[in-house]
Amino acid sequence: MKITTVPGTALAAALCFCLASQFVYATDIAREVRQQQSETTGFLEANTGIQLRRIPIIGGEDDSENPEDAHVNVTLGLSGRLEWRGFFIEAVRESSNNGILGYDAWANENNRVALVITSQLGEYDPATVPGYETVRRRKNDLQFGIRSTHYKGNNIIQLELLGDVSGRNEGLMASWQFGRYWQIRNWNTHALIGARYFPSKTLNYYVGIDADEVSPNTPQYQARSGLVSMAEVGAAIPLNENWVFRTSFSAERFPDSVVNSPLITARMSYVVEAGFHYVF
Amino acid sequence: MKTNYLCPITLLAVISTMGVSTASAQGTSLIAKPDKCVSLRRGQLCYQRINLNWSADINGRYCIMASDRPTPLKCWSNSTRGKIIYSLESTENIDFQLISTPEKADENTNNSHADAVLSTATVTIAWVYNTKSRNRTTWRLF
Repeated sequence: MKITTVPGTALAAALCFCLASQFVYATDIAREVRQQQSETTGFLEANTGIQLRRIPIIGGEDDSENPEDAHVNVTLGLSGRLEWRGFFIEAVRESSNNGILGYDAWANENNRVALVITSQLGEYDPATVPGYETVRRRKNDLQFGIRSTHYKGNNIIQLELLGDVSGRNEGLMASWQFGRYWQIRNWNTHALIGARYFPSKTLNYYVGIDADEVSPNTPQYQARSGLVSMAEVGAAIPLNENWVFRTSFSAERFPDSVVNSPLITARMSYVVEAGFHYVF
Repeated sequence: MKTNYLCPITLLAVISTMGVSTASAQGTSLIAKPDKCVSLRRGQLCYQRINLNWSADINGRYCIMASDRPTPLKCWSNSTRGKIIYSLESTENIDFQLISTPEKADENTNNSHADAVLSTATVTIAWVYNTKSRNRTTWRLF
């Protein structure tokens, strides 16, 4: 068991690009369904908990030569959101150094359109794993695009169109996500499903193997485009005005173009976690 | 020059109200435990089982009223103490009152105007996340 702290690089380095994308993705719609509201004022919270996760990517876990195994981590982190004249900045524990800077360009009672800048695809380093020393470190991207969110009752739909402006992969990604929340007495439950389209340029940067990276473990590989699907269920209960207990299970399914990469060891990734959040 | 004064009836009413609303002065008490219900966000229904305990020095007929209900939650005859468990479901603070009522009062009628309030207890509704209403249509051009 290890302790993961945020801010810091440990968690970011541990997260695979798809899971990282899920978490950043989660900073908006999932944060909203987790808090059971479509709008919040700013907030700041610290949290600690325990997490069981499987990230089937070579170099996806700091200390593992067997990424297909599940790992247990103790987590510590900070989450928060600041708003000022339409601008907002938001970061959640799971996203670590992947925050979102945005601007609400248009909004009415049930719809919102924002311009966002975010780093969605996390850094990971396969070269830390014996046998994969020839593979270069994959670095964070920087995305700019538009995000449209629609509310109806306890349902939220979010659509995103984001392009990489870091120059590392120059891909254009599209995603949709549907979230719903329920209140069962003082328990607040939520469910999320979604999918994200990654172009060939993006997947190839993160899971492709170039000619100069070839080794016995890593034959040359050119990734095609693909659709990553995800689902999450969770529940939270307030313990008092400052403390909330949360638990959730989330999973992602990778497309063939990802699974066939020498850097990927399984089709599914998942995270189960439970923890206490202190809201300031 | 304006002269402020209290007419005798008003003064009597104030003194009377002070008397009956002060539990210790009447030897009565009404205690709600817990006295707070916490929801995840402001405006959400909050659910809590509230233990209401009351006591009085003098035997009589007493009722407990809740501010979200027109009729008594329960009445006791010829008693000096009692308790009930109240299932709270509310978005707003709830005030409970211990009142003394005539022996033949009907539990299903709202005759609180004729009753004396002996003690009060409040259960406050709190929340973790504040909420603001969604925007009306707005365009922003920096």
